[in-house]
Amino acid sequence: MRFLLAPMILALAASGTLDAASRSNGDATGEFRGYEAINAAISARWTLPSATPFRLSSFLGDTSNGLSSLLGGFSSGEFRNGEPNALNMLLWYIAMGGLAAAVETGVCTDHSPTIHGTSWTLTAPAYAAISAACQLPDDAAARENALLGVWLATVSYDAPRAEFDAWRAGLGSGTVAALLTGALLDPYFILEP
Amino acid sequence: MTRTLRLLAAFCLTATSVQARADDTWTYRAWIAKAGRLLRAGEPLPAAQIEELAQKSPDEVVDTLMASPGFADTVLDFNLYFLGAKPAKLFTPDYRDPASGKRLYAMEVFEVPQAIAAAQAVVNGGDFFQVLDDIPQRYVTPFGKAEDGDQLGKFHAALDLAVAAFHPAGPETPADKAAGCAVVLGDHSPLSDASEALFKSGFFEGGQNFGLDLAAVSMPSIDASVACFVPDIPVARVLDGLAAWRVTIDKLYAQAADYSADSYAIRKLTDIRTLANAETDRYLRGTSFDLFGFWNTYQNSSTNYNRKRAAHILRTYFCDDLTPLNVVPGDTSPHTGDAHASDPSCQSCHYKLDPMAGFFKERGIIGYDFSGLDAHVFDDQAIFTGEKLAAYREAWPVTGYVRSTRDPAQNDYGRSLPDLLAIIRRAPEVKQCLTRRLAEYTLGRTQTIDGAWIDHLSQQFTVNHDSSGAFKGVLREMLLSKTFVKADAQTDQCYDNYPEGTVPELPCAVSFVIRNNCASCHRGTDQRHGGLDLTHWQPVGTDADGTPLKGFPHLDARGAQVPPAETFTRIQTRLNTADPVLAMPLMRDMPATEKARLFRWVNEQTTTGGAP
Repeated sequence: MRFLLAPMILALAASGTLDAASRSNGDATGEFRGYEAINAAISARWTLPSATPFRLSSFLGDTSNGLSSLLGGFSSGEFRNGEPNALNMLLWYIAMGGLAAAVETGVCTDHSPTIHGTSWTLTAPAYAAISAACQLPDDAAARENALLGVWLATVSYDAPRAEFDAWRAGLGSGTVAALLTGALLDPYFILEP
Repeated sequence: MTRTLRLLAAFCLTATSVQARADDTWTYRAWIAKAGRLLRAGEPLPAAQIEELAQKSPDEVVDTLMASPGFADTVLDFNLYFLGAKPAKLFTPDYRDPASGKRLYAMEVFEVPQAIAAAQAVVNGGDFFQVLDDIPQRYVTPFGKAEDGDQLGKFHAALDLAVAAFHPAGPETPADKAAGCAVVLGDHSPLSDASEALFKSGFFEGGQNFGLDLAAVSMPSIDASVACFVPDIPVARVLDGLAAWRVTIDKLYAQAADYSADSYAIRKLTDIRTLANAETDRYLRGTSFDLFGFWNTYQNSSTNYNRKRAAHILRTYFCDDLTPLNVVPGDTSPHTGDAHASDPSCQSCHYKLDPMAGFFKERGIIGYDFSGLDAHVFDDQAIFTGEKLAAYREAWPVTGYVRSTRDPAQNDYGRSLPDLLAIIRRAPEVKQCLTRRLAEYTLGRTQTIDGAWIDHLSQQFTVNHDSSGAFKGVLREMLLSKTFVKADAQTDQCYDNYPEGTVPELPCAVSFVIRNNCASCHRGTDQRHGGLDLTHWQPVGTDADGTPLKGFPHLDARGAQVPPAETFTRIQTRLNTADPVLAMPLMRDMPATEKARLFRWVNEQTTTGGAP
């Protein structure tokens, strides 16, 4: 797993994630929105209905929901495992990073709306937005528009404008996978408001 | 200024530059997206709909979203949260056609009929407070097809065989009962095999229609088991149970066409139907104390009796998490029935836990009603009879919701589960708890909320005779609150206060509690009240490292400020003593939840010693 740490740290540092995390350093923060809520948000924004419903946990290699239960959720009427910690952040990173990499391969390499290695298909708006980021234009305004499209297709308005600005500044020249991972790991997206 | 204008001002009027205008446009859409997600049970708003709603005022946005079908799901989801029954997912993909994107309500939903009834009521203008009731209707999913292998005929034949095994025509003997029960209960008896085959048949959707299967197939079987298990129950009662079982199954099959997937599709919450003519059926009637939803989750035992059930009721409906704080004992006998519960230190919980448990005293294994029977079987399968049973039944001298150990007039007493539900319906603590849970659901589970604001909002549930309107009104206030609008709210701060615009000087987590229970005496540093002023929160010096400390003004006899750590320790002691001379508030009872909240906060301050 060590090989994952370097890109994770780079991704966190370069994205708005670390920026927003430092914002709350020492302050009270919320809990995770929970695995099912995030899975539902990504599913609704990115994927078409499928015979095999979208499961983010598949990128954890998790077929029995064992690991995803560590990402926060209701069980016996109570919300459990909502407090962020080193382990569950790593799990979030692996899941989001895996999804982002599969999307990048599918969209930018295979030129297909199918998420690489899966049976899930991106919606037309999500595919269009992410495709536009495969080769970002040089023109600043067009580039800004393309990045905004990716952000809104992923995080929508779940995070303030400043998070988009930090993400664009940190990852705007990076790979699509890094862009998507940074957006998906934004604390405004994965934490309770 | 109206609430709408205030919000618009927050979103728009402060914008002075292009960037600021862009930010505010974003902020308004962020609020719409957040409100949309909440009012659609977690389903995010599509981008186009966010843009469409952005042209409307905040009130219009809320109106639009509350009028959408997803709002009923939000109410349902909240009801489940309030009742401590929220599942991991409200929906599952339609297993029959997952590629269609259609969803089914999670089966757990059907185990909590009061949640469905109240959610449908909010949409239809009915009584939202059904969420507090026992609901006799049974909500069902569509039935499957009843065509496989004449399972009904085989079931009838097995029932006939079982009835015959009791020799009902002759005089009843213990041997008759034993012989009959062997047929009813025996492993792979014709009856158990036939009922199991029925349960696995297409009619019950192979177990998908879980609640119905449990009611119609499992419950009669359990009923017969208990009747066979308890020696004093006559054969006639077993036979009554078998006859009722036949009626129930026949009644279900007779309605097969009405509830088949062809004539009954659940596309939205208000489509969910109740089973016709089920209220009077012994097995099919619904109940908020559902077998799997309640009795199986909150089991009793021969050692802890019904206290787990009581703790659930106190936590769920009264927001009382049973923080163990000593109480001043009453003048009369304790509200408890055994040595452990009579111990003074144990009284801190048991004074209210045991009277609440008394409501469940007749309910044994899986909630079976043993009243009038000469035996009581617990979920741990222990059986009390004779003297043990008599001692158990005498262990509940008082049954009720206890607010005070000293003044019985403040308490609500009763005997039965209907009495308990009537208490829940009228208790102001329940309305406050409902409001607090709605605030958690809307604003964040860990967000600190001003008690005065919660109290103010909960008044709507009392003064507004339209309970559904009250629910929507309280929810609207929360959606339009500063806390909800704030993008990065700190969980330990309050953003909304009552009266509006006031900012309490005291830490908001406890300002309301202190004002209600302490400040009438402790409003100055007069030595008659220990020199402690609980109406101000101010700098009170520094710690050894020079860190500024905040605390209450608290002067000793010489007029010197008492170190805040000592102040908090003394408050802690006064909150947690059984000595009537020392216990605070003096000679008064403080609501248990408020006392617990204050104690926990003081405990935190004791740890930090007043450091901000």
